[in-house]
Amino acid sequence: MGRWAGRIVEVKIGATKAEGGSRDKVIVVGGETDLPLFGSKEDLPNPPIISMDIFDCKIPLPKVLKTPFIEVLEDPAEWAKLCVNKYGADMISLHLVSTDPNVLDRSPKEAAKTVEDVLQAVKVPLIIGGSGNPEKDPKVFEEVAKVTEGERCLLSSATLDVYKEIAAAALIYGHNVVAFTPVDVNLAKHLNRLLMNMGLPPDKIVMDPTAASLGYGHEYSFSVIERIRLGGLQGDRDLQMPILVGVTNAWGAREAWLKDPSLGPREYRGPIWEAVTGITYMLAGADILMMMHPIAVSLVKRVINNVFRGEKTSIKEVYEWLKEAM
Amino acid sequence: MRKLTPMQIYMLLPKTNCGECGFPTCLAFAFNVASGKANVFACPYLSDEAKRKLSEALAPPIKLVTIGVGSEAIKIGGERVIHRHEDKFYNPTAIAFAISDLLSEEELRKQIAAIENTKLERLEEILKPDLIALKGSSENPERFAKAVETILETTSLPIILCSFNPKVMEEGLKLCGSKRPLIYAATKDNLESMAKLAIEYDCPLAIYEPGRLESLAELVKKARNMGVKDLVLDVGFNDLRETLEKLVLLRHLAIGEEKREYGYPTITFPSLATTESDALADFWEVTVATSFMIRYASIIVLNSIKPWRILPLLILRQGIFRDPRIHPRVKPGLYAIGNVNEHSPCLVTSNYALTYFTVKSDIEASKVPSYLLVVDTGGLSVASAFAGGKFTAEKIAEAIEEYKVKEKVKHRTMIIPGLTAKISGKLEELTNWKVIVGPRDSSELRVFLRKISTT
Repeated sequence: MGRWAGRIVEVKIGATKAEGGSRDKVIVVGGETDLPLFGSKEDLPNPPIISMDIFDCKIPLPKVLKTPFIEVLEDPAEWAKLCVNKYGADMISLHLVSTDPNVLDRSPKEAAKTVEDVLQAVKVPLIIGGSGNPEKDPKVFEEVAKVTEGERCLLSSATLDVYKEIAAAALIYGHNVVAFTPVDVNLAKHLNRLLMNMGLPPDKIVMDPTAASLGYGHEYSFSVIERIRLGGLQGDRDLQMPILVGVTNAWGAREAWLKDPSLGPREYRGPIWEAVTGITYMLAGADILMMMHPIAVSLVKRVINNVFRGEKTSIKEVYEWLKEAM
Repeated sequence: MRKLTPMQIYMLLPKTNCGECGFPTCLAFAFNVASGKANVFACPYLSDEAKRKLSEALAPPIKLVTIGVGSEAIKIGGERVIHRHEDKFYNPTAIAFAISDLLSEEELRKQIAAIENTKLERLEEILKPDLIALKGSSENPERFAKAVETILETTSLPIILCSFNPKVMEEGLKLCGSKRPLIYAATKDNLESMAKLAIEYDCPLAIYEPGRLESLAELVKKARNMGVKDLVLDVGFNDLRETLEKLVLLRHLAIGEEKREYGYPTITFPSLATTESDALADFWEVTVATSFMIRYASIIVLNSIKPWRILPLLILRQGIFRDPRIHPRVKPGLYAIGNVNEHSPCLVTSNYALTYFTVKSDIEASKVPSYLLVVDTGGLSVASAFAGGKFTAEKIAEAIEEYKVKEKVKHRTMIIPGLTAKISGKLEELTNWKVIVGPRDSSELRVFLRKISTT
């Protein structure tokens, strides 16, 4: 419809050999000029991207979520391969949980080694996540950013508490930064401004406005994402960055994993919880979905291929359906 | 949006300042009506002329349609905005389950019972499916009527009668027409006969037109000219994106451009979605229903009543249709989490529902049974309440007394959120309890509580 003045910034993730990296291809996110389904195909030049989450050490996971990865849980490189080769991940998000002093307290050097192993194993662009520990993350990111110089990774994440070191590391070594804020449009704007004041250009920033799980604040996240995207489209430059959502958070909902026969089998509940959470955020405007369960990934891909790429899905005639006894 | 100013409303009021509406003056009442805080029909003395003008001017751009009668009646439509943060969504998407008149009476009863038994209590609301969609698969009027009879005997849930054959429809309506079922559906081929039935039985009528929206608008106008007031639109489902785009466009035309021929609730059929892959088949209907619900479908019709399929839809609906201006909250009080005893640790948090549920699930994950004291912060999170002076040492001290915490635990130690560390001195002073500053984020409670319980 061309109803908006603003356009979402395009962010490039990953670099090919020609650009100084070692990835097979570069992923571009952003560039929208309307919300999904509200405008035309031209308003959405870059379909949403699925990044599959992997972890650098054993972490507590619900059984249903663990099962597809049971062979590779202790080998991030093999885990990444499985996600890309078997489950069709567009990107890998590697979370360096082990560096947390309360977990294994692994050194930045050890973390950097893991990142290098994963870069060797797969050729898709990488999201590198810290442990969330505010003292340790800056040290980890500095080292990791250095050894991956030129790969144009996405470092996750800068927060209002800890952003300077990670923005500096991204600037020096040529990476992008995820700006994480807790479900609040104004805080998201504020952090973006802080990062831009550090000299980070808007096309190096991706926002994570917090993706709550279905049933646990999901509607807040949904509306915050819609407001951020509409704000950007209306011309607010502090909100014109692409949006990333941690859809794996869906598994935080007890309904996704609790053993309770009255709710039906867990094998179904978990994946559908993740799929519903992801699809709603994607339709609100999210550009990158960090996900985990292969079934949820397939379902979201199916919607992406139809809504953003125009691939037809099979549908029954209503007249046929009416005739069926079941 | 069609909207009246307070003065325009005031001019239509009796201006007697009788106060029976609950406001001291007609002018005060007019201001509250204009801002949506009061219902204009709370005034008992409106003239017929005023009533007509007001209901026209204040009517939502998407017509409110009622299906069914009595306490189980379902309201759909009545929407005023495109995005929920602009105001709120008013009437939740109704969830219907399809059953066929080819089933035996026993099987029908079994399926209806399964629909009736699907209930869930969450955040102090009962979540459940709303409608039964009876498919006239047999094309046989008597068989259809027999199935309607069985439904009427078994449940008071409102019904959608599904048949494109007016003869079949009429037999169904003879039995349940007084219960305001939704007639599904009129098409360009049968519009006249279906519209006649809708008028005769005073029932809402669905119009099915899978072609261009302009063709749908033509059928709407025809039905309206014949005298049908309550319509429900089916834009068809040949492709997911196409249907979603039509749903979005309908909303835009009705609300953004105030085109009345598009201002009706919608019905959609995720039940028609199929997959070529068996592994995904079970999940796909829910996935499609999710996208329809998030993009404005007023009714979704599903095939299967399995609990795991309906659960995410019920919870999605509860959230999206909640008023975004009101913070959901839990009742303040002392909550026992796990198998507590008098030595269990005691923590304090706010009564914002999401905070409570997050802290609760983190305590559960620690496997350390604990008491959680929930203080009244007016539904604000710990951080906001602390900043706004609603999470104070005084408040916690009062809550310890009010909810008789001393009778439940022998120790005198309170764990407070890390964000509120500053109040620990004051709280110790006020209560003579020992105060421990807990983690800043409740996800760290797992480690924290285990550490505490082993020392």
